[in-house]
Amino acid sequence: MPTWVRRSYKRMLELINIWVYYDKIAAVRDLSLSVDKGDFVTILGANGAGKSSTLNAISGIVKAKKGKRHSKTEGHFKGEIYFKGEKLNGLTAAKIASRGIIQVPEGRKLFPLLTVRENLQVGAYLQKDKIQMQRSLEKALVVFPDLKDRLRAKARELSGGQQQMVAIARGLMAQPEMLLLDEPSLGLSPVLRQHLAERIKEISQEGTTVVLVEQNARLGLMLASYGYVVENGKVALEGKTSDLLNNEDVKRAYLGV
Amino acid sequence: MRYIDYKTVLPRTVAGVLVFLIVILPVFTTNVITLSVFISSGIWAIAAMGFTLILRTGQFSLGQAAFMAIGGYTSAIFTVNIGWSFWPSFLLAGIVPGIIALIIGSIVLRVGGTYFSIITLALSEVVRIIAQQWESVTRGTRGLITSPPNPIVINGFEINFYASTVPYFYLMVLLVAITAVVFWQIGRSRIGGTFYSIAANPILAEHQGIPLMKYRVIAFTVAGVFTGFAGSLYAHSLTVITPYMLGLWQSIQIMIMSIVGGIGSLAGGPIIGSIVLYTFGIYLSRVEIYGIQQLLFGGVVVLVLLFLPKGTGLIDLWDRFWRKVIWREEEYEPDTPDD
Repeated sequence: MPTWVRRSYKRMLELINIWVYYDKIAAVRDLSLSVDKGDFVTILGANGAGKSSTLNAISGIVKAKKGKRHSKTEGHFKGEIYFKGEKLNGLTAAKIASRGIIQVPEGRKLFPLLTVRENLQVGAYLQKDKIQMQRSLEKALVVFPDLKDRLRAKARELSGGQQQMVAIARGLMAQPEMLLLDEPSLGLSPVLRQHLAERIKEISQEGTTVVLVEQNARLGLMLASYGYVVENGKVALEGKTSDLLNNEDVKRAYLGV
Repeated sequence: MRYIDYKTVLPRTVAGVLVFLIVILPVFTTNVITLSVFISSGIWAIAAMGFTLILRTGQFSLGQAAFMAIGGYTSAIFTVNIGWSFWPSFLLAGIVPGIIALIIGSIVLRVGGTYFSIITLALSEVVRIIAQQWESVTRGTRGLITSPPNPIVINGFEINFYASTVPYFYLMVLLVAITAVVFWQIGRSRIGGTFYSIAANPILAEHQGIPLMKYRVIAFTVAGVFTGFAGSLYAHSLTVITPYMLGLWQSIQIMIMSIVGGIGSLAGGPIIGSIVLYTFGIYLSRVEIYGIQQLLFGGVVVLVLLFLPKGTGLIDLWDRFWRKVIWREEEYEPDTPDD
């Protein structure tokens, strides 16, 4: 089916039978999931379960397999991804971002030599005029008021927590319909983690659809409304987070109860 | 009231005075040799600025002299073989390399990185071989003898390119000024930030919806246009263009000028680098040892990389001179990031 044919869609994002390969090794095996508009979904799982690979397939960093050609180093995926009824396979990461899916990559990647303001401006690339850019800057600063005093500081001079906030704020600058967060709590102290969690909750309540990948299962389940548990590249369990929190297997494997 | 910081104003004023002195140089001397040293430095400065612009997007072009050659040959062929006057040919000498850069860029920049450098390196050689073999148009190794622009008369005041080198000098100053202002504005604007971001972290930039290819091709094309102008001026001020004038060594020379001058600034660094290195090179060529120029250029690069790392180059020396020698400020080193 050509990509321009709009399927009637109920789900905002649909992944159908996704396989992600790095060379010949499959990191994700036959994974299907879907996200509704305005939802807050979390993907849980252990190291190497295929959570990040799934996100990278959505955002186009891992590319769809075309015929027999594929890159050995960067990986590729098979299967179908639909966003608002349109197929995302074969689009570049930049095109996917312009459709409204913004990923905040793992490990708070910033442009270290640019100031915080400049970092945020890079995030607003998709906004064409300055007024709109200023408005989204103000919006991002409402969510992260701590950054207000640090706009002129170089990104590398910030603390870890602040850097993570800049990374998420940069994602918000593009005014995405869907925000993909890859391990935002990585390497943060418990206090900062809690602070960040509240901010993410706010973003979700503002109406942005959020997909959160977390190793810290408790944090993910507390924040999100729906959860997928990924094991060995497959969805092992899914359900409302309130149900998952009470699930015996989840409790034993991920919550350490 | 705006607070004026004398520590930023004074160095800029002194730099401005130096630039002004260079601009009014013909008042003090109309010596052909002195002026041609500056004309050539200016021409290399434009090419080095083009190289720096491409480097801003993270790509390392080793074929900038090829675009100078394309520009030079375009205007030479149109004035000598077809009989156009200088000015339309000069305009064409910017357009043709621009179009070629656009075509080559849209094919080659897909791969980027090392492959891009290798292919531009090959381009350098391909252009030289075409110029050498296509004898019916380029006269092969004998080269094309170019003629200066016709005299222009404004209100009885005649600008005569035949009689002295001063008009060429001002044509060079004008071209360098336009290039510098354009590139400086590119660096300040949003597009400059985008260039920087696709070089610093292409994956992250793509995540934000920036099409990498588009911006790489823009930088390559803009650099191609200005380098073409420089090549045309080069061919006409030296009155000859041969296949061996703009080869691989010249491409490397452009790269060295840019790096020694400082790749952190799009206009200032390359200009300083090319003036210093070209003048240095002229004096070296009086020492009649084969390859001494290449050898010592290599030495300068090593010295700059040892003592002025992080791509700050000579332009940073100016800054440091004021901070350390004049103001005697304390050394300030920001903490290195933890990851």
